Amino acid sequence: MKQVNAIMGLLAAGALLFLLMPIVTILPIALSSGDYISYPLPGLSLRWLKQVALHPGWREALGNSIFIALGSAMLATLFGTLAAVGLVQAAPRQARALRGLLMLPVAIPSVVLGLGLYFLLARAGLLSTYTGLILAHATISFPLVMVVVGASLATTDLVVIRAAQSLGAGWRMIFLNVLVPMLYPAILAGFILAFLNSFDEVIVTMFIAGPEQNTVPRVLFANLRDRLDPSVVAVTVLMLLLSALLGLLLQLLARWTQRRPADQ
Amino acid sequence: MNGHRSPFSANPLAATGFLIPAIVAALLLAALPLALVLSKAFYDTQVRDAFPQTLEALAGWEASAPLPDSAPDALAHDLKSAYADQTLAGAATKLNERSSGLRSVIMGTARRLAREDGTDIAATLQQSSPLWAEPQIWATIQAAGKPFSLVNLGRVFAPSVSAAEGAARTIGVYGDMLVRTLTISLGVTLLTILIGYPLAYTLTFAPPGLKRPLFLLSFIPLWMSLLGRAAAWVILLQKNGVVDTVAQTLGVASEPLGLLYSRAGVYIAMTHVLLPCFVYPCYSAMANIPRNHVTAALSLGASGWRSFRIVFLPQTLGGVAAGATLVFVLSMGFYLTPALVGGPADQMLSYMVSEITLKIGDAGMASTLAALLILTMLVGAIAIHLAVDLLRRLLLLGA
Repeated sequence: MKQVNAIMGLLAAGALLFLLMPIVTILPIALSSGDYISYPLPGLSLRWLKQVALHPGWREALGNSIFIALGSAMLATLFGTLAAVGLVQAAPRQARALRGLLMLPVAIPSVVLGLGLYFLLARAGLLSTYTGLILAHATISFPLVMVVVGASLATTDLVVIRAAQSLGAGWRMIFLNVLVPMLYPAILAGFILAFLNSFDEVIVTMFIAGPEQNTVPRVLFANLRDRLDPSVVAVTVLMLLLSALLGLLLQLLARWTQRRPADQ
Repeated sequence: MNGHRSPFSANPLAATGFLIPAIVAALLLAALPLALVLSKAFYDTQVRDAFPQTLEALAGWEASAPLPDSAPDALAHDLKSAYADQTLAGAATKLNERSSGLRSVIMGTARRLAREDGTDIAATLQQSSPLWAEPQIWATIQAAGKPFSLVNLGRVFAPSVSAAEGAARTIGVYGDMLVRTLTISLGVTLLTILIGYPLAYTLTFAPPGLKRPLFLLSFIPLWMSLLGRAAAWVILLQKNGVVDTVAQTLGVASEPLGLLYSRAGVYIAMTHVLLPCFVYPCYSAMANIPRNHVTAALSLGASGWRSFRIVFLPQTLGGVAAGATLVFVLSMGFYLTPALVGGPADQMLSYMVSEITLKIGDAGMASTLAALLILTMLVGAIAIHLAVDLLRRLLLLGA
């Protein structure tokens, strides 16, 4: 078995290198002082990051992205958390069927959902509106919140709900005063996931957004196809770093959730 | 009150109410759009909406019989009103798909009718195009007026003649795209299995101290921006980019490889993006296999390789199937990575769906391709399960 382990370990090292190398390699290019993308770097500077930060196109896109991501993440967190609590309550068979329906937004390929939403929002007069975009992004994000909060609910002793009920608490009170404080880390993790999901979305957005609703991924996508310059690298690196940082935060939240029952 | 083991005893309806916002969102903004796409794939009302009176006049008419007297007047009325509403162009394009050249005949006739208001209709039609005297054009409108049709599906699989290539091809451009999407997805699935299996294996058997850092390194890419990862490959693969520089320095290549806008680039980038999606389910399956199974095989005298092959490997195939299915389904729908890293000959179905919708405006064709995408995805997922099951049987037989 040692032989097998050694061969597998060697291959795994290669796989990890393949997985991480590209991401690590690209990071320093954002700090290049050169006029175009080249390795080795001619020198280090913040000029491209500064150019991105000052460019009106990127700033406008960033504003739109944050607005849409915040709005949709808030809606998705509300819908997803409520749904996770509702699913715990439903009978097992109904819960399975309902979960299937509720996971539909992430099961449909983005391009198919984008096309369908394009038809639907055109009829509803919501094409090229922030309302349409926020609703669409909330829909593709709430299943993520539901899964994260649901996982946390599964490890929570729900006898506290009975206790609250026996003390005469109504549903609104139980949700706000018992469940939300208990599930707080998972709800926050769900919010971060929903935010990232919206902030990275480009396919559905492309179908339903108007020209005045440029988001960061949309502008980045267009630039990657038309002209590659170090400012594109700078934005790519910023997006990778933002998602990595928020992802690490998610890991911390997950560990916090896991440890909590033992602490109490 | 309620029979199952719910933590909530009283008033279950109140908690069910918690599900309502999510259910409404899933039905209205996911199920309904999906239904719209699937219905438009085979149901198109553009021609029916543009020619209501003509179709009424032609009801029951057959191409062998003389044309009903009311048909030309009805046609003139429909052409004028659809031209004024700007719905005629879409319908004319639909008719053109059935018989090429019809678009210009119809648009030309409509323009002439709009100019020469109130004159002799039959003469105007005759002046616009001699085709109006033939029964075929009327029969085409009659046939296209039926909203349910398989015309789009036919266009996917029909042989197409390309003037540029000068020869009939065995399969149309859309069919080509479907085959290519399937090929790339299966190739990427195979690559992720080959690269991901050893990684999942090593994660499973890593010593406790090494496990957490290895885990973190393996799954950091999973939560990193999808577009960011595709963008990274554009930058790395470009001509004289980092990959070329490294390959030349190492002496692997003597000249720039130019992997950007190539099929190889698409395979590399897609495998990179999808690798963690395979490793995770595969690892979960491996972690659940009791360690003493392998130990027992070893103590009974099997070699390390043999106990891996007949005891460990078959038990991991469920995880392999789960990971491979996930990777396959995701890669079938891939859009960003091939659009950015691939050349014109490497584009996949998703790209075609968006191009046809947003640039050409043929919603019916886009819907048909989207429906085919979903269908192929489902069939492929089932096929992967069957193939892995077959592999398991073969492994056990070979034991």
